Amino acid sequence: MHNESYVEEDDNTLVERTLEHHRYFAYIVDRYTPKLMRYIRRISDVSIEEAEDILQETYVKAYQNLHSFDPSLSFSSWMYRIAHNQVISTYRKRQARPHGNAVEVEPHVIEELSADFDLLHTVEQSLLQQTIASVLNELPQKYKDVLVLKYMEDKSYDEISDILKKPPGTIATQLNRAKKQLKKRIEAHPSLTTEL
Amino acid sequence: MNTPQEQKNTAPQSQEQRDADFSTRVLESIEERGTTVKPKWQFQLREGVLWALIAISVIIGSLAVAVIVSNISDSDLPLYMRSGQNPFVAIGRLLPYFWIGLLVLIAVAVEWHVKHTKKGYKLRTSIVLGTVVLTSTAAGVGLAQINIGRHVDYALERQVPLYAEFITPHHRQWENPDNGILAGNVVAVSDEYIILQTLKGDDWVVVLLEDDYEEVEENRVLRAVGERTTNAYAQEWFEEIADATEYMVTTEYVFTAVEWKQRPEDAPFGRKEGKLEKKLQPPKQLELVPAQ
Repeated sequence: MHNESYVEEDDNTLVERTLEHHRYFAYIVDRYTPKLMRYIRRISDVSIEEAEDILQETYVKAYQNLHSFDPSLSFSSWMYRIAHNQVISTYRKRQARPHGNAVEVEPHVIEELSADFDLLHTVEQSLLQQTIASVLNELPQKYKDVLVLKYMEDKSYDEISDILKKPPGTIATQLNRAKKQLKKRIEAHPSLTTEL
Repeated sequence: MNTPQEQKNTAPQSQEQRDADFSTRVLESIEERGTTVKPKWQFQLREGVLWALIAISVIIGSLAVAVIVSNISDSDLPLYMRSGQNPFVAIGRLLPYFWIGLLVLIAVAVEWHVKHTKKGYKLRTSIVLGTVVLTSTAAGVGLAQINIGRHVDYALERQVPLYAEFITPHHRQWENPDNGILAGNVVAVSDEYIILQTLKGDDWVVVLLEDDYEEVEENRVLRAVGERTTNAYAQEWFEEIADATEYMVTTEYVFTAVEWKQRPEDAPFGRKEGKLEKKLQPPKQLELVPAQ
């Protein structure tokens, strides 16, 4: 069934194919698993096994609701939305709030954040990396959600709006507040104040 | 000792291996559970129902505004305020709170429904609420112009006893003779007095200060501002009135009207064939069904 030509197909074509035969859904799963797995782990504190269960449920729901996908939106945003909702739903069942894993903050994220927040360039990158990861987990969930999507998943405002189902204006406001809070907390973080 | 297969099963897998196996696992899960793609019509139906509910809500909101506009325009606020009431208190008493509350509920319901449509989340709450209120207001003012608001109010008061009893308390604000306000249906007119029957069913002798009795029409609502003039007339006068009109009036229920008003489309009381009108009508004859 695995055909290399389908690997190159765009999402909408694969959706159409899947509607013809469910086996084509494997191409979608292959395409999105690394991204969604990373995303789920970033916004939750679940183990790899639990993240896989959440991801599996995400795909089953996506498959079931394939006809509700609006091709005028991006399929990627739709998948992220289902994954996000599945994480929330898992935590609701547990009656707990997603805390987030020890988020891996890649160098490009540090660069972007430093440029955007006017962060101290004198601070050692690895220290800043640890601090950001730790502070990010302490932020309220709504702020963490937008920051993760913007800086780690590299999503645009419109995509974040589609994923979180909030107006783009609200996303812009939340992102602004999230950045302020993150900057304030980073600057006040004990590891950085002792460094300075 | 583990077999090679067991070793493979127990050896920690890399993330790449896990990802590669994952699609197989997902497809197996879909097949085992017998999961199918929900048909398109289910989503179209859901979307259609949401939009139908939005449309119905906006229509009800427009009717609410139409009734609010009618109620306010029919409330004779300027006359009411001439009784010396604080204007804010007067406005507060005459506002149709039920309809205002309903409009707020409708706006919230529409906002919820819009947010649950496919692309509704892109709209800001303030924009949705503002649009609902503005649309309902524009349509409601239009409906009020063609008397729809008044008809809805009349119909509800006729058909729904609870509405007449509780939803229109502002009507009763006009029945406050001790504070110089009285309204009711004119049941008799002479050149010295009129008999006014209030919503409570009390019969009042109303003396018009300007003696303009010829302008008063029977079987229509009259609203008056003046003062209660208990015990100002001799008992004999009331006996004469009772003889002439067959209404049992007493010296307790006398009101001197300094200003009064009657309108062809008078709303808050009797003309709406509500409680008062029912009282004025003779009881219906029961139809006897012949025995089989």
